[in-house]
Amino acid sequence: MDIHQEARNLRKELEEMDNTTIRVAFFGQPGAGKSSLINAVLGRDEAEVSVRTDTTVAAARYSTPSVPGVELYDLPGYGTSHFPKESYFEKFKIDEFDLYVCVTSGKLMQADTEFFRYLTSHNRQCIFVFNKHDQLWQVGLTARELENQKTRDIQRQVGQAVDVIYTSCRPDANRQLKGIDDLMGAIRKRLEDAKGDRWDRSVKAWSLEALERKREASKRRVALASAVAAANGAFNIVPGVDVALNMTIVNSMRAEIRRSFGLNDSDTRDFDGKNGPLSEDGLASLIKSMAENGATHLPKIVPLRFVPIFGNLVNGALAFMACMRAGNYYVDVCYNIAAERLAQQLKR
Amino acid sequence: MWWLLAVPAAAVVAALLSADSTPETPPSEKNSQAHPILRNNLQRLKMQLQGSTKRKVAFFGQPGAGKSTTLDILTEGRLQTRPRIGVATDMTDWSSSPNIPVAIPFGDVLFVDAPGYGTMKHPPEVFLAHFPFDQFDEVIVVVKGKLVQADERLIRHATKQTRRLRVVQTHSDTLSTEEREIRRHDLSKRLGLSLIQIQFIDNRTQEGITFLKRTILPGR
Repeated sequence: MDIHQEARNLRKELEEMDNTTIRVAFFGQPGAGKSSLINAVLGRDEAEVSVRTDTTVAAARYSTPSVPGVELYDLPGYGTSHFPKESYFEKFKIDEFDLYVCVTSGKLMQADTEFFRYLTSHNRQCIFVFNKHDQLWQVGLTARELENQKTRDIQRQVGQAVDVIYTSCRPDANRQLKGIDDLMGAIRKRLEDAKGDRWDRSVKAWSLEALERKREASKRRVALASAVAAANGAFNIVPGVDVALNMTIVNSMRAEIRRSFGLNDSDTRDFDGKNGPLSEDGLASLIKSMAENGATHLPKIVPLRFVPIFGNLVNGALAFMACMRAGNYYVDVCYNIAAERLAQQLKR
Repeated sequence: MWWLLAVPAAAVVAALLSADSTPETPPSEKNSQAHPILRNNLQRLKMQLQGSTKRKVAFFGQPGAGKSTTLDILTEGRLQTRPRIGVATDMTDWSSSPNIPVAIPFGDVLFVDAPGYGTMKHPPEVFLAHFPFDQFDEVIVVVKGKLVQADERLIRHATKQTRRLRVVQTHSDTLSTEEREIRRHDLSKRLGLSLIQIQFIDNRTQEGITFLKRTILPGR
């Protein structure tokens, strides 16, 4: 086994993981509230939302650095004079998007129905959102009854048992937006493994369930990043330091975990000083104690696929396991802080 | 050298003006055979209107704007055929039955609650070609959200055909004072209407209903 080659492969795999991009396209009538929904999903409180409309023939792309790898698109009107139906799908390649969200705030229009039918005939996934739930009102009927009627109507229009999510982008009395968590959950449900992990790590968790998924996805990245750090450290030992780990990778791993949980330096200061789990000193002492204790119980935590790579490199294996253990510990620390904040938010 | 710009500018203005005054019915629509029941109902509506001496008032607009609800509230639920109200698409449906009531008398007024245009069953082109705007004493255009292309085309067309037209913005309770001003000017500019032709109502809070009643059903 050539450790140099393995190191290169692992590094490439980590890069691919971090470059995974999820593209979700929003379509619907003007004024249905596509932009508001896009802002709500990206969490506009966190960062400036950048709008880029290249030309009139392009979809507006929205992304924000605090939610890396998630690109939301506002598609121009289907079947308008600028974008006639006949040439629409020549300009917008439907395979470019992982998922479609049809936004309506009233009754379903012909253009929406036709667009949806085109999508399903090409095996694309689509979620329906009824935005402006606060405007859903009729004498003598409850909101729930209206929702049921609306869902049935949309399903009849499009001829399929599609999911309909009810949202409102006007903050309620508790300054919460209705249904955004449902929408994000519905998007997540339709993403495959790698993209699902990326989504879980990137977007804000609005429920404890989503936060739990974030923790799991973060730990999967810790495993891979630890392997990369150890493999690159194994033949690149810093003189005078006991740690055979590439600290650049370890440091970026720490930053990535924090960002994923929406935390900054000061939030985790208590766990993150000179002797913190992911510092050079912290890792060195962890490796030392693991070597002294024989480290026999630790291979259990190492994903099987990494065992052959480090099996014959004692130092590498130790470094890898220490890094993973410290990384997982740091994930749990961040998870606990974020869970406490989320509980506060949900209680309000 | 300013005059070098003036010539293309004039050409643009001329083009805009001519685009505005060209017949708005697509030629294909005139001869199309699609939506026969809707066409037939629109034809029947025209004949009924021609045969009546009552004041004719139409509620016209996008699906889900609140046409039927407004009409029902205005007439206090006392229309002999009450409008069908609901969140489902095509609640007011002129595309399925050839003998659905299209005009409903109420005292000395004949009300028409038009189906929302732009759905699969009620495409805007059919309304553009066949809705008898010229037969009405007043057309009340009901709007809820942003205008789309079909709205502009249809409403500008209606303005030219009908005697009196006003735009009623529903769900006004969700709009702030500032949003209302923006909206009023936007509607006026895009539809070529004066500001007083635009009114704000809310069927849930009853805002603006009294005024609407007084101006549409005077003496009641």
